[in-house]
Amino acid sequence: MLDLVNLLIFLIFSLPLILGILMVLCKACYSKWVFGIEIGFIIAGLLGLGLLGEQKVVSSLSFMGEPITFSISTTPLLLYLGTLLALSALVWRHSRVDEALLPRYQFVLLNLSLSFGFIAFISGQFMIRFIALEIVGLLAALTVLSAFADSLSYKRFVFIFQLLRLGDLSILTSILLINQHAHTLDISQMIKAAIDLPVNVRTWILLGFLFALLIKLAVWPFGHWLQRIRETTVGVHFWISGFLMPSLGYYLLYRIIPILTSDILFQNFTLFLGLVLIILILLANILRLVKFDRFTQMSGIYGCFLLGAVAFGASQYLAYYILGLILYRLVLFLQAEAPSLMSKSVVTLMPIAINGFFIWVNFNHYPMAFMAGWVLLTGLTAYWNVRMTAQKFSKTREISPTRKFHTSNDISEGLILKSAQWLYQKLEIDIFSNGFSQLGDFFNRIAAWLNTNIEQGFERLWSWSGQKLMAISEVTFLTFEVDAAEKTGALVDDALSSLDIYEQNILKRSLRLDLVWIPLLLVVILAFLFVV
Amino acid sequence: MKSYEILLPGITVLPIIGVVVLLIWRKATKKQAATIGILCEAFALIIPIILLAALRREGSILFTLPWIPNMQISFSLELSWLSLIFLLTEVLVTLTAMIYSLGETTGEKYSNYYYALLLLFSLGMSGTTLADDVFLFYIFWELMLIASVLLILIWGHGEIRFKVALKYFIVTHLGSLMVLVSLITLYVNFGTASLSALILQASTLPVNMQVFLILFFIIGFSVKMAIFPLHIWLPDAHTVAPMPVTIILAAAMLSMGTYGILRFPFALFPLESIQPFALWMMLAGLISEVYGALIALAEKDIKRIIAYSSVSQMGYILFGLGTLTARGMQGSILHVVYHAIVKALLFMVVGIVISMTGERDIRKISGLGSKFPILCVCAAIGVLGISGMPPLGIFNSEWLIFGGGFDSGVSIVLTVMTLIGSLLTVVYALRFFGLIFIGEPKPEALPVKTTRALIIPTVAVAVFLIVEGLAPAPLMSWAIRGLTSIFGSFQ
Amino acid sequence: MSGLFIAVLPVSILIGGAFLIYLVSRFFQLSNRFESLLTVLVLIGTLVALIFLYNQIPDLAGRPDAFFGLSTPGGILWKPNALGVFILIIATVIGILISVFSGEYLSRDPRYLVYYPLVLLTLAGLMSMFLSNDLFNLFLLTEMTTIAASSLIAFQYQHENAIKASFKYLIMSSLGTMIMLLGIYFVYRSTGEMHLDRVLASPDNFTRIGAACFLMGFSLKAGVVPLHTWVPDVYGNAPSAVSGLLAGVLSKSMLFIVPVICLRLGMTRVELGTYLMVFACFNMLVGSIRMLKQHLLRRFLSFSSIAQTGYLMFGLGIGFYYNLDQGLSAGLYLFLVIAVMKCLAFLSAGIFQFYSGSQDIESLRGAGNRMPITAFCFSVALAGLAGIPLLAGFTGKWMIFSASLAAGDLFSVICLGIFMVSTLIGLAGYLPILVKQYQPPTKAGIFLNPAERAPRVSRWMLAPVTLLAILVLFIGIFPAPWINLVEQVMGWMLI
Repeated sequence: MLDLVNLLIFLIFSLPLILGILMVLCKACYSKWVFGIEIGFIIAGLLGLGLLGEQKVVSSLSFMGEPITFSISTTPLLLYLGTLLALSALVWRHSRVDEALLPRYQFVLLNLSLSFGFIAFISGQFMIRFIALEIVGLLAALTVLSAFADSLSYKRFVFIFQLLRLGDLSILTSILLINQHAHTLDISQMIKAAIDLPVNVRTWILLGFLFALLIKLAVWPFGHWLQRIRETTVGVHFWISGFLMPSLGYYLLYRIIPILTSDILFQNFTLFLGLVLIILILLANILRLVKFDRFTQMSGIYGCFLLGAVAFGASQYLAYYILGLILYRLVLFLQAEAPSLMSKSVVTLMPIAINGFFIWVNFNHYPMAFMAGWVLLTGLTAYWNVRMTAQKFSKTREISPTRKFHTSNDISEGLILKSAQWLYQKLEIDIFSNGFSQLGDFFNRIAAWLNTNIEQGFERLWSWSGQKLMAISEVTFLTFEVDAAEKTGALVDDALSSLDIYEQNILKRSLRLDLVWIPLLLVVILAFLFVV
Repeated sequence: MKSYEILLPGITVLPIIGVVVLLIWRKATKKQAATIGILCEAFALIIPIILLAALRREGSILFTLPWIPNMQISFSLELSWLSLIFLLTEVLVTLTAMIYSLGETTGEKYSNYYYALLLLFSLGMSGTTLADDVFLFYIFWELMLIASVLLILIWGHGEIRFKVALKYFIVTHLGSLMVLVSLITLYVNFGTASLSALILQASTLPVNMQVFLILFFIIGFSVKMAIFPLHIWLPDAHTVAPMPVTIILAAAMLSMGTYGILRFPFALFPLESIQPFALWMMLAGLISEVYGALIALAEKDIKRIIAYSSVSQMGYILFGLGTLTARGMQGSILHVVYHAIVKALLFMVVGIVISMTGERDIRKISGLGSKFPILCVCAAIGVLGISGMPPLGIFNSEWLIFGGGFDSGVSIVLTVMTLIGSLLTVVYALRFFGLIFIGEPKPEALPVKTTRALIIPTVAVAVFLIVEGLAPAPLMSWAIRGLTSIFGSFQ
Repeated sequence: MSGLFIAVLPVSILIGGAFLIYLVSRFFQLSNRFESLLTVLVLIGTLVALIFLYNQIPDLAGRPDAFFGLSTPGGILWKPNALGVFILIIATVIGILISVFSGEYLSRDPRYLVYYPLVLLTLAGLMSMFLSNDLFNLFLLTEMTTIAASSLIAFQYQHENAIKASFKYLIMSSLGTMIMLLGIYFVYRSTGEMHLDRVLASPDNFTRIGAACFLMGFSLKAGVVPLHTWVPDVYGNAPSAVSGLLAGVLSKSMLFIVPVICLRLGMTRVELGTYLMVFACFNMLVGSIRMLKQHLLRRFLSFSSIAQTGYLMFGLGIGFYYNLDQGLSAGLYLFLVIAVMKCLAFLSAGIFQFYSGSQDIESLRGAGNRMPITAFCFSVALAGLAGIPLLAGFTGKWMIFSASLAAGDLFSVICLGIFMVSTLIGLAGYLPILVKQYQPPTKAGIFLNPAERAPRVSRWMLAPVTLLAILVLFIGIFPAPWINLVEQVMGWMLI
């Protein structure tokens, strides 16, 4: 049994990887159906793994002294299946719309993300998962690159990569903190050990994870990366950033539930966080302050719903809830791409159905207040969803350098408008939009200041000290060399011209400085010998 | 003396033979001189590999010859796991630099002296890693310095090289003098110059003297490692030196400071004496890391950008050393190796860019990516590598260093700040790559084709980086063995 | 006269040889080279005698009659001692090399006849200073050395600067020697003795005054700051070979007479040590700093010499102040290597001046191409003076470090700091000059005869220079036998 599992894992991982690398090296030589067959094979493999049952697989390989393990269980497989379904849908849509083959670039990125995404889902060891997450992040950022000559797309890439890297760094912090105490990299054991840690360490760990999750789930205000990708990427490889990354984020959130629920403080905080973020996003959207499109916003909001849902611990059908969220993303995406395909009612009613089903199934699990809030917010979100549909938010394909405030004649409350304007200006433009670029500028300015004042200050210090040394030498040179030489010359000329009266004058000769030193030194020595 | 022990001085003697041959053969062309140099370095590479089996059996190989008996100074060399790592790093870097230099234009005239000095430079470094006698260590340490100063003086760029060489010499020499004071204090207190003997006895010194010695060692070696604010010699020296020398300087010589810290204060004195310095080392590492990255961000000369990036990376290493934990120090050692590979790669790329466009100002270069895809890929690997992207090497060592930082028990905030600081590395690395390779090619700086001798080592190093990153296990085990020999068993 | 003839044999050979050579050369009208060869022969004879004497010293140590001369009060006395003989052997070897060098160096000077005898007389004077055991002899022969040296300094009398330098040296040295005479007066007044052995028995205040006078006098001859002002003039204007002799051996060895005399006259070791260490700091700093801005090569070397005297004093000072044998060995070993390196430096500078006609440092440019072997030897000298490892000076530096750190006192550490600063500054001085040799000549071209593209350096000059360079390398790589020798001398001195 185990060998079959190993073989399956190996095949599912290596097939896309090899295909992707092959595509890099040789020109497009695949037919339309290759990709489809590949996805089909992976789905079949996943189903097979699922049928083989939940187990932990220890491979014979190890990396950096830690054995590479895999943990096969239903949840990750399910989630990955859902994500793959989305991919199939995207591919099908592409083949319907576009006769051409998938461009080589997209194909390579998709294949690589297929293999590493798989690893990230089933990895039993945090280091390998982290590595896979990083690589997926890099691939997601790479999707915006279009051509060598396009420096604008490269700037986008840099922004996205840095933001994703920031998220990864906070995951790294949390992983290392747990690892320090748990002395193991096995995920389940680490999570178990993390629960026993002191509260302040757990706070750091949780904050690290939550911050990373906010970025990965593209929750406003950390979702700018997704928005930028959304605006510029039109191919199938949008799947990496729009579906794979958030799914990985969902799964990560799912795994850290034990840490979340280990202290009432954390639960409250997570709940509060989810709540506040939903309200903020809704508010910002209702007042038309943000330019995120519906896909990004809704996925962000439902990510916050998930946060709230997990605050009370793992409940029944949570995995299915997440699956539902993934499918809803697909629906949103298709609706934006091909409005004719999806009826508006599906888009509006589906989240209500998912949320409602979830809360109905977990009726006993959650307190009343929570359920009331859940229903209320679901309603609000749906309402706004309808409003959004009505207003036909169009997707822009260029990045506007500065986000201009979008006035609307629907808003009538002046006070709310003014405060919203102020809020928008401060938060969205100043901090989160210009802010990031200003942060970059800020760093550049610090760097330039440091450069002129400290680096070149060192240069100046060095040349100052070098000059000072030369100056001292110069002064001594002038005083002792030139002047003394002149004095010596004058005296010796006198002596030479009057050699015959030398014996008489020797005692009366004006003592030159160096001759004076002789008895002076003698006196010093005598004093030293007799007095000291 | 066992039969294989005689091979050990071969690592030092063979380059000397090469130097003598090159000095005599004044009419050698560049190719011939380079061949001799590469041959000697190759031997210096093969011998430790041959001795590997013996090393595994014995734990360390020692070769001793009495030299100045009345001063208790002997010519003794020791190959341990720790020195093996550093030795192989610097020999490989020198080999790569020598192969790279074949495609370069410096050293056309007086090639024999050029390669002789390169061999002497490498000899200084290998001798430093192998020396088991403090007098001998200091001689090789100075030899390293002198050879590099001469290389900068004779083949450096521009009239400014005289001042730069003088500054480099004096600042580094100041550091060497501090090390010398500590070395001689030990020598004088125990009446022997043999390091093996000193290691056994040094912990009997009174504590405040130990603190003083450790301080002098660390500061002296930090000058060599170019830690802020003792790094002032580095940018100019790297910029003015010819490219192969810059490669060796940045990739191999900086790591000698790390080796010095491991070999002297860490090995000689017990952990309790070094403990007071832990926080300061970590702090200095953090400051250096952030500072180097910020300056690299502000710089406009591509060579200087990579030079300051060295300052930043050495900050990581010092941070790792300062954690005084198994993981942190192991990470530092690994980081030395990986940094050597990445730095060599980046400098080789920079060298090719300079030789192609004739420009060093980053504002004047752009858009090379479309025309030179191979170079672009190598540079991308280098840039991603230095940002700490798995599975390229530096991720491994950073994982260990940060893990060690958390293990060390010093405040979490410090390590977190260092972690966040590593984001700055991403920033300047990506900026470097973007400004050079992305964008419209500037019409006035049309690049010419590059020679094969330059591209091949670059690609080879890039591949090596990937390989080493994927399979760090042998390196890690060597590092652990080296550290165990210093510290005994670990917590 | 009774006693050991061997004690006075070397001096007799020298003095006899001096006069003989003069007469023979005058009579037979010998050429410069022939006379130089004769001088070399005489010096080799002296060397043999000295080596023989050296080997005899352990036997002579215990014997009360191991001297030559009258032991009555007022009689002169020659007594061999290990330190003295060792220094004299070094001096004689340097003398041989200098004579060979002068075989070519004086080829343009018609007055070579008196040169070699004067050299021999200077050496004879030096020899007697070390071998004499009574104060009067010492005084007499110091005077003789001074006069002979002054004549040598003024040898190229057509240059006005040489005359001036010699005059300055003469005046200052004479003043110093006069004060030494004053010291002798005090000693004689108090003890009625001039024999050093017997004075030792009863030191009192007057002898200490005498000690102070001698200390000052010999400090002047050694070039201790602030009595160093004659050094740059003299070394800069005397013929190079003479500068080599003076700088290498003559002035530095005065520092070794100081302890021999002053300690016997009642100065304590601690006092002597303090004096040496304090003034060593001045020497080191003044020498290094003033070295930096020199335009003339030999003047540059003279300041470097002042700094080296400082290092010597530092080593000896540690030895006396803290009673550390390491310090004394360091001092003696440094003397050996400094003698070799300084002589090498001055002789190379002499070759440069001989073929380019100018002392300017700028005229060094291109020397690496024109005179490669000389340039290499000069580089070796400069590098050795800078303390580069594997050359002779480094082991001396190491020994000084060891001695001062072994003392461990704050005073010694401060002086060590000044020592380090001085070596650092010295580096900044030596390195540019070393490099200048290999830089291409500037357009102006300072060479007086541009026809001399690549002069063939005469073998007479090249041989001693190459020999010294090889010696510097050899001592650097294999210091063990030399350290053994130094320790042997130290051991015998304590007998």
